[in-house]
Amino acid sequence: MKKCNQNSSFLVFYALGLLSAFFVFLICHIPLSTFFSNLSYQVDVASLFSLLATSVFGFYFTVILNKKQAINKVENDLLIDYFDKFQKDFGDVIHSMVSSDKVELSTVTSFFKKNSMYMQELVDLIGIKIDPKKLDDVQLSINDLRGLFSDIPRDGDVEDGIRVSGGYLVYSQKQKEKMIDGIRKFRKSVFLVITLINRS
Amino acid sequence: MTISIANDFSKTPGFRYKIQSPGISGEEFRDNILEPKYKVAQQNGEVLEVVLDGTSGYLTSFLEEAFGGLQRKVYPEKVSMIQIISNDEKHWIDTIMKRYIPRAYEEMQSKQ
Repeated sequence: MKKCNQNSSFLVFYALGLLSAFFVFLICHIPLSTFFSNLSYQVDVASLFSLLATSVFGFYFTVILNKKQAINKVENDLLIDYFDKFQKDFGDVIHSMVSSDKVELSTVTSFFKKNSMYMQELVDLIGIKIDPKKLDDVQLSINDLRGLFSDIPRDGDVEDGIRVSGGYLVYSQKQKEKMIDGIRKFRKSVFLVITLINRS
Repeated sequence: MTISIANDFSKTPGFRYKIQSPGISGEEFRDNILEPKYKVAQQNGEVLEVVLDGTSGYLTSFLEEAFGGLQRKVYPEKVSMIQIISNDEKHWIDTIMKRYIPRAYEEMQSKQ
């Protein structure tokens, strides 16, 4: 659909350009008396040149700018889709871990490692469009979540935090509430970055 | 001198304390590998490089116990001749060098 709109606007501009060129050709080559026998006319070469130049430049810039805008929009849409998929997958896995009674150590470590690497890729990609520092809040919210899932306190098991039981990580209700809040902050920071990409 | 946690210790690092995950804990990594090698590197006037890549990932408490714990053990000396290498998870470099080690130092200072 998008491609169809781009093609049709290009055709309209192309047709207008051809039409302008045709009229300029008529004015230059066919005497007006052919159409209006009782009319006399005077050709102002400067005005004619100006008209021609305006038509050509108008046509050229409209087509080029339109194309650039279309490319920019496609790039933005791709980045947003990529980023949106990341935040959805990340949030879904976090939610499933929060709703579990206990989580395996390897589930937590590999999940956060995989997403750190994914996040690094995103910073590189999104850095083309916006200042990569704008992603700092997203990174911080991921770091906070990592801490909430894996920072076992030094003074041993605590009721309101994380416990280790039989090789599993067990989270208290209070800790789970902090995690839910962490996901909310993460999604908010992603949303802000998406709006920035959209505006770029 | 270089330590690779994946090659010299475990590809699947565990919890903070030995009692929580024997053989793969941060406490054991610090006591059996990190601290002895740090002392040798220090005697030789070398920087000890610690490579984090190649494992399945880390719990924050494993790394805090290893590096923050090293600082707590060698206090009042400051852990400085150490370099963290992490291409997979670059954020660990700052976390260890700017948070775990300095905080452990401050904590020891405040205790005195």
